Amino acid sequence: MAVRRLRSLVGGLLSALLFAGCAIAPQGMPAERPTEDLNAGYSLLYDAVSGLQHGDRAFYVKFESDPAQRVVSRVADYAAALTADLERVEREFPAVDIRQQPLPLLERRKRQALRNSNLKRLAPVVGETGPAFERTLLLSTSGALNQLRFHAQVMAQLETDPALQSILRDAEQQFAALYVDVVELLNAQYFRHDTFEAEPSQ
Amino acid sequence: MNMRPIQRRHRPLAMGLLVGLLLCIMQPAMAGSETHRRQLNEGYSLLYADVAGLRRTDLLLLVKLETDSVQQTVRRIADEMADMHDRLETWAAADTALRLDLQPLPRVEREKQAAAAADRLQSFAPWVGRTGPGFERTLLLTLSGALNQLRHLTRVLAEVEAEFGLSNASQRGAAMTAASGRLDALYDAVLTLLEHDYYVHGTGQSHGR
Repeated sequence: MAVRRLRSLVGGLLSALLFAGCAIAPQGMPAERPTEDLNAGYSLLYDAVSGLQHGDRAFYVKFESDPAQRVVSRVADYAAALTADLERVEREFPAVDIRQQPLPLLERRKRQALRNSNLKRLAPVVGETGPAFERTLLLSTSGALNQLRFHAQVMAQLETDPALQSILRDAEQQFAALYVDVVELLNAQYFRHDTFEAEPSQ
Repeated sequence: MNMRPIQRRHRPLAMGLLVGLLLCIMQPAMAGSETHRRQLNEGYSLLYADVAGLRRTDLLLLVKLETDSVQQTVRRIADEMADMHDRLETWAAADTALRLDLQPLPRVEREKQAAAAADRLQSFAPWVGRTGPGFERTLLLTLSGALNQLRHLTRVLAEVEAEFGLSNASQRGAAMTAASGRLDALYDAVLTLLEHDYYVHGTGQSHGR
């Protein structure tokens, strides 16, 4: 009885902790296509994947491990393919706009500062090298993939056009699979304790 | 040229024209000031939401943590978040123009963050989620990500306060600069702990800047 009460209390506290300040996830597909929300989402998705598509070449000289280079290349290849897909979508679907700047000024400046800081850590010559560099790059990549899989998931729930929804569902699956690959590699070669499990999500 | 003084009956008209002219001149500046205030309020609202979410991280200590060094670091982070949370609420109570309740992020971004948080919550859940080193490492990685975001957000807020120069700018800007320094130190502490106890290879570098 006491254990059940404690469990309930802790569950409630954790929910409050992690959901504070967050919106509640949508329960179902809206009747009308929320074009403005979706275009903001497509623009953020395009910005993120077009930034990832050159990750392998930008850091080519710094890799010492083949598995790390391979998985980062696969992420870059998929990001390049999705970037091209989104550009095609913009041409073929007049309602879709991938060039918006939907974030507020402070958030844009914060993200730019974060990017600059990450690039400084990973930069050739002065930045990290060897396994530490690879670990930092893989951790950054896993964070980006984790965000992108949920981004695609949320957009697929909002999108009402079947063709576009299919692209988003596929993107969600691709990001999720790449995320698992990166986390598996981190556990196998860069973390002291290999706690990788395919399920639940890492 | 013979300039005659404005007749008494024309003075209200002249005053009205003068006031109108002044308003026309000042309107762009006032609109700019309103835009600046809104942008700052969006930034403070984002900071407040993040800090409110993290200030009770130490509740996890009740159920899961096993390592003293992790417990100490998590308590330091929770204390800092609680201090920032209280300070922001004090400022908002003293200055009605300061808003902490805006939701400036687009819908997809908000719902994405909620979905990612729900997924992480599941991995932290008592009894069914992660345990031991896997849980501690995931928690430290999550906190390092959050601290990295916050230290940059506070730094940008300090910069923007100075650029916009609104009322209370110097007090709040100085507080944001000090906060970013403390967040740098906490971020460094988390990364050092990760390198020492959870990673195979260390870097031996400071990470905060």
